[in-house]
Amino acid sequence: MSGYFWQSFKKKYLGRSMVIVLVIIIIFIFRGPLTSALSFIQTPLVSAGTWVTNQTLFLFNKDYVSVSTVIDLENKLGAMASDQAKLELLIEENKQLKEQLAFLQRKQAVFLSAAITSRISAGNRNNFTIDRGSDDGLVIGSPVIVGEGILVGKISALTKTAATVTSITDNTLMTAVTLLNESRTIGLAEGMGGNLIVLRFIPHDQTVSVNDLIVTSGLEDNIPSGLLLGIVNTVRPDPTAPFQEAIVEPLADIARHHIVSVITDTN
Amino acid sequence: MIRLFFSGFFFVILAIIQISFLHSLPWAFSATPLVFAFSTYLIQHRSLTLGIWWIIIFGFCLDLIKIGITPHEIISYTLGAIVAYSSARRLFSNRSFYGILACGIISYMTLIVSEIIILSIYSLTSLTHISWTNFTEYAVWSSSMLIVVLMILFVFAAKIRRLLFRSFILSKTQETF
Repeated sequence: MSGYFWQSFKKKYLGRSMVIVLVIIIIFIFRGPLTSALSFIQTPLVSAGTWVTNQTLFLFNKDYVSVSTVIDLENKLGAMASDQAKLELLIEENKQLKEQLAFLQRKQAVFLSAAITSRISAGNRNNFTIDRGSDDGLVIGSPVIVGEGILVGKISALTKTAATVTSITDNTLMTAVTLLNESRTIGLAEGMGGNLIVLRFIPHDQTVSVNDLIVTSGLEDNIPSGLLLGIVNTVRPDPTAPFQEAIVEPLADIARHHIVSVITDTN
Repeated sequence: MIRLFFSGFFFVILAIIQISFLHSLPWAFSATPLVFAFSTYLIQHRSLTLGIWWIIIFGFCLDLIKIGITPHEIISYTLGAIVAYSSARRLFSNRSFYGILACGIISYMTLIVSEIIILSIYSLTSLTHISWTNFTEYAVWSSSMLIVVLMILFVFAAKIRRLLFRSFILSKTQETF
C-alpha cells in the first residue's frame, strides 16, 4: 500500500517538486543580479503608484487642500524643522565649546540617492527595498533619509545590489533619539505600526510637551546625531505608572516618496 | 519548457505589479493580494496546479526580500495553497462565480489565520508590540480586494483562457483535475 502511494506520488509530484525546489535555489543564489535586473521595471511602477498616492491625497482628508499647497507646506515645515533642530544643536554645541575651549570637528555625511523598488505598508510592517546594496558601500544599520535630513528608516537586510529598509514606524525598529526639550531627554523611539512612533520609558521628572522635536541622538553606530524623526503629537502622563509615554508623528510619510537618500559615511 | 518559461514570466510580472505598483497605491488598494487571487483563480477555475507553486514561491520571495506582513510568510502561503487546492478539488469543484469566491475566501482566511498564529508566537517570544487593530484593518481590506480581483478575473475568464492556451500553460484537453 505504501509502495503504491509512493509510486503514485513519485509519478505525479516528484518531477514538479524538484523543478520548484531548483527554481527556489536559483532565486536564492542569484537574488542579487535578479533584483538588480528587475529594478529597471520596478522603479517606474513605484513612481507611478506614489504619484497616484500624492494626487489622491485630498480624497482621504477631511478638508480640501490642493496637492501643490500640501507639498509646499510640507517642504516648508521640513525646512523649518530642520533649521530649528540645527539651531538647537548649534546652541548646545556652542555652549560646550565655550566651556571646554576645545576644537570640535563637525562630521561630514556622505549621501547616496536610491530609488524604492518595492514596499509593504500594512499591518504592523512598514518596509521597502531600494536599488542600492553593499557594492555601493551600504551596511546594515545605515540611516535612510528624505527631504531635509528627515530619517525614515534603517537598512535591515543587504545583498550586493539591493537593500531592505525598515521604516521608523515599523514595530520591529527602535531608534536612539533625543527630545529637543529643556532637559534634552534621551530615549528609544519605537514604531507602532501604522504611521506613528512611541517614546516609552520617559521619567516623570522630564518635561515633554506637544510639538517637541525628536532627533537622532547619535548614540547608535552609523546613525549621526541631529536627523529629524518627528514631533510629539500626544503625551500620555500616567501618574500611576513609573514612566510616561509620548506619541510621535513622523515628519515624513514614506508612502509619498519614491526616491530616498542613504547616509553611507559619517566620518 | 515553453510552459515553464511563460509560467515564470507571468508570475514575475504579477509579483512585480503587486509589490511595486499596488503596494505604492493609497488606501485599500495597497493591500491587494494580486498573486494570490490569480493563483486561486488558476487552481479553482482552470484546474492548474501551477497556482499552488505561484503562491508558495511568492511567499518565499516575500521572506527573501523581507517585505512580508509577518515573519516566515512561506508557512502561511504554503498552507493557503494547500487549502486552495484541496477545496477546489473536493469542495468547490463547480466552476461558477461562487465556487471561485468560496475557494478564494477560505484559502485566504487560512493564510490570515496562519499569520495571526505566527504573529502571536512572535509577540510572545520577542519584545515587539503588535497592533492587532492595524493587522485586522489590513486583513479586512486585503480580503475585500481579493474578492474584487476574483470578480474581475471571472468577468474576463474567456480572454484569460485564450491567453493560457497561447502561452501553452493550458492544454485544450485539460478541464478538470
